[in-house]
Amino acid sequence: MDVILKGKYIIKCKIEAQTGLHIGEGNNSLEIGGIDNAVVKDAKGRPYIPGSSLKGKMRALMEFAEGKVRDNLLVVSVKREGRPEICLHMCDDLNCPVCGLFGRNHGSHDLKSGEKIDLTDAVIPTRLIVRDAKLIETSITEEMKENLDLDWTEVKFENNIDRITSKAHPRQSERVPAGAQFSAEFVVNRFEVDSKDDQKYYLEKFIKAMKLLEDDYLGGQGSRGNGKVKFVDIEIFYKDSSDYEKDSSKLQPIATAKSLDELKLS
Amino acid sequence: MVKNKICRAVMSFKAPVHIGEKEKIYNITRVFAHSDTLMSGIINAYSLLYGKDETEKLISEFINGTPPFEISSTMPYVNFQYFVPVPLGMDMEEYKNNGIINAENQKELKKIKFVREKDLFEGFPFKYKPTGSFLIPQNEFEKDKERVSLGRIKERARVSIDRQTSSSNIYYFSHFEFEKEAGLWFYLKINNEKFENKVKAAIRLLGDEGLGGDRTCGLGNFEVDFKDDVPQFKSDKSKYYMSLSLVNPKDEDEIKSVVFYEILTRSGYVYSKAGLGIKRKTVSVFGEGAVFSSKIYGRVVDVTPDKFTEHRVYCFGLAFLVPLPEGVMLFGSR
Ligand SMILES: [Zn+2]
Repeated sequence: MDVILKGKYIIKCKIEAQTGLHIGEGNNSLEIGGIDNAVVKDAKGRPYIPGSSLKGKMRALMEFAEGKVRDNLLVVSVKREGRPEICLHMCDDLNCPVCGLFGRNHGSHDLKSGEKIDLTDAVIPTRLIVRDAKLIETSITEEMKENLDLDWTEVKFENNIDRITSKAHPRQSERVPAGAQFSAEFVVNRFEVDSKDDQKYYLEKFIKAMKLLEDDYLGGQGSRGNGKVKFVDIEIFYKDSSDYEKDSSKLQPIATAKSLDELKLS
Repeated sequence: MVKNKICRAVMSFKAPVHIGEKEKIYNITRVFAHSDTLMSGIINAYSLLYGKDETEKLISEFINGTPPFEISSTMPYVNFQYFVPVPLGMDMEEYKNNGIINAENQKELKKIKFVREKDLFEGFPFKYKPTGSFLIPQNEFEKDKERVSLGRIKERARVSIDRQTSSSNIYYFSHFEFEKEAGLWFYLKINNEKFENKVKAAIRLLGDEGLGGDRTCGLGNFEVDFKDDVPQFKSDKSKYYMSLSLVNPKDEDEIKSVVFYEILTRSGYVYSKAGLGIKRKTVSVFGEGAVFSSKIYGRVVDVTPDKFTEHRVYCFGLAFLVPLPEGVMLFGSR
């Protein structure tokens, strides 16, 4: 198989938190006297949205939307005591929009249905790159700051009640406040695979994934209203592979829109 | 060979770099890409831009002994000061005895892994003090002790979620965040101008794709700047040469010319569509900083696994040599 890069679609936009946003840091960062349930932050203490969180969530939503969540299309990614614990979609269909955009892991896998599948012949470089989305500091206004407990975030007490013992487990939970914006960048590679040009196929699929995310949620506690996000101030650029031979190239957007509803690709 | 052009490729990172999971996370040397890893990254990017046939032509130039370009391993820069590895065998104790290095104890001297490029090539014209693994001029040290830092290691959490039951699995890996004016750089030497634009294009693309692990989540993303501010390596008849890349010697004579060295083992997997998951052959190389008594070239080693027929697999063990200046104090050279 010969894979050539034709160019890259670069999608720059802002991600706006429409409700509080909680993307957890995981439990091992627990500091004594700190918050039990902190959000991810960079070295300077500013919250950000890890590219992996965006990519993982969009992949999962696309798997459902493209009808790929079926036992014979799911591979086992984590086993516990020999039984499938975590399953996700991966397949050898070269035209699969999910695997084509989000990638496949090489080698042989166990399907949930019990069979095995070898993806070696289907592996091509992953088309989608999702960068970390950084906080736009000015999006958290002085007015908003007055109501915040920490520099950029709010801390809420949550009362989790054990269903069986009725014992309460109060804990603190940190959130990025509604209204905060992050600058995001996504790259969709346009390949020519054995002389077949992707054209805009995967770009269009990616925009679908963005729309799916707007109708879902990002991060934790989504069922309690957290994590609603909206993509705003969208600009799409096209960088041709020949541009890499130039020192720097000032790219003109091929599409711009205030929101996804207004976005039109020529 | 054609007149060579040397430049400095300066990588400024836009995102943290993922460090290999199996390594001890406190071992920051994992952040640096060795010349062979960097070379395969460049060649993969080249192949993505220009296709299989063009790439085979490029590789054959290397195999035939006419490398169109040469690279060093990546090295650190901090506060836009460019560092190179300490030549192995450099006698720090002697520098201390001569009042050039001001160190409290042996331990401090042993920790020095990098010296400024210009200090080494100008024969250490100032007074110096070790700060962690860097040796820097004492006056800068007094001014700004805190800021001599390449960056820091952080842990990242990742969650995978089962599509049907929503049960989740959390796992961690470490990544390295560079300071603002810190990053990695390497020497790029163009031997054949015909390839210059394409090689630079491949390096720019590598920057967009990212170096290291977890690239599709944006990690390892860098911008590259090609600068001409490299020292004049005037001496063609130096007593000693240091390699800034990994070296696999091409013959017995090259092995015999090594004076100070460290041996590293390079192994891993075939990185290509056809070979993912297949172990390549293991080779031994001299690590960066090895000192030689004559000019050596090294070689490209065929590490294609037995019974693997898709394509050849190579490990780049070509030496990127710089002459050591007169008067550099090595063990036993007094
Ligand atoms: Zn698929």
